[in-house]
Amino acid sequence: MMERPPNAMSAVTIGPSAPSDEDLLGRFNTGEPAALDELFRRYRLPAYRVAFRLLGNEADALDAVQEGFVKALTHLAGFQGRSSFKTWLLRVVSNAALDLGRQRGRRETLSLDSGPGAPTPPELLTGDLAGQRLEQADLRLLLDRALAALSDVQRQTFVLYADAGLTYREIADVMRTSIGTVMSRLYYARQKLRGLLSERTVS
Amino acid sequence: MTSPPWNNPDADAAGDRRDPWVTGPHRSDCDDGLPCLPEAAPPAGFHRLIALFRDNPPPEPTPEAWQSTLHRIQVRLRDDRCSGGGRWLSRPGGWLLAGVLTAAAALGGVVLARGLWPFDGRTGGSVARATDEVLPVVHAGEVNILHMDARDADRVITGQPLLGSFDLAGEEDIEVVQVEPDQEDGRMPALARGAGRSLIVVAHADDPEEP
Repeated sequence: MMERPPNAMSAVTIGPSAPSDEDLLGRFNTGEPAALDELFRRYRLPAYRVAFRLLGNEADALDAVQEGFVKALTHLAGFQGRSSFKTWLLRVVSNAALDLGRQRGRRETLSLDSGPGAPTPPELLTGDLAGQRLEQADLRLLLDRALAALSDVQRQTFVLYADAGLTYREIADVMRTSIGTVMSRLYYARQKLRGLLSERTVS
Repeated sequence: MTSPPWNNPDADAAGDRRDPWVTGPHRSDCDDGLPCLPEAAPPAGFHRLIALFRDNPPPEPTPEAWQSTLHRIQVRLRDDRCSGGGRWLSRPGGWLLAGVLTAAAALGGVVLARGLWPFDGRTGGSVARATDEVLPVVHAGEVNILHMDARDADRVITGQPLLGSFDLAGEEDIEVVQVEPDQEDGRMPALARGAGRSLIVVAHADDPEEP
């Protein structure tokens, strides 16, 4: 059975010669600052994407990433021997994001200049490029709004599957629930999202 | 009496209980205990939905924003290490306090465990008695329930075990759309929500209608 999302984003690329997470955590515990830098560089993107999807804006997402890294690294005993650092971190980050969302409310921002690439002001873009940016931003906003309509647990499950590329079992570890419940939440999240997004968008 | 493989405690755990769908080259794709039925695979429409989200990721922060976040993490971790993390041990009397707490924990453990040790036949409450008989495993059809407390009605499951795929749903996954009276007696059903009740809802994981 194909359990991982098809063509799942490989936001975390670890080369064969790169130190393992366990090595880095050991070095972090001895006070080596470079180990933290490497752990942050390795997992900041999946953590940020999960937090952004749950919160809807960059500033709050970065706050959740910060909170998640601090809590995950100061409570390392909570995961060791039971799961990977990645799933432990994403658990803490996603919970921190949900807490932040409850405190601050979900604030959506639509930004043309923060795409993966150039921070070019819209007035300097050519017509076609500006149109593409607008269309992409519109679509992104549509997706964010559809996600916001899901319940917390459905949104968290879907985001961990779609954006973080976790397997059912990893999501079950993150959310401390059963694989059946993960599958159920994904099923109902899909049903809701399909209803919220237009036929044209999904196909 | 011969028990069927799924109900035989002597059967080889890795062999007889193995899901027949999990014996081929795709074994490594399947998690232990996960029903690797073909119906459980996500349908194609779900893949398109996932791809839609993946192809439109959130806008990535600037390098300065990443650096600022890393810096704040470093500062907080440094503060945390300075303010806590075992510094109390270096204070005067810290080791003495640790020794006293350890001794108290050990003493408490011994006192608690003593009640469970089977020094004689009267105190060995948790130890199986030598006269206990090992009962054979039987089929559901060989069991007749003669009497049962009504309060245990939701704890007894009879019939064949659940086979195939089914979804477990939480309370938040269920939306009550309509409630109708019973056709025979006309009474309205009672809806009990919450109170720690587990809910099992049979659902179809595969939907032929795709967008």
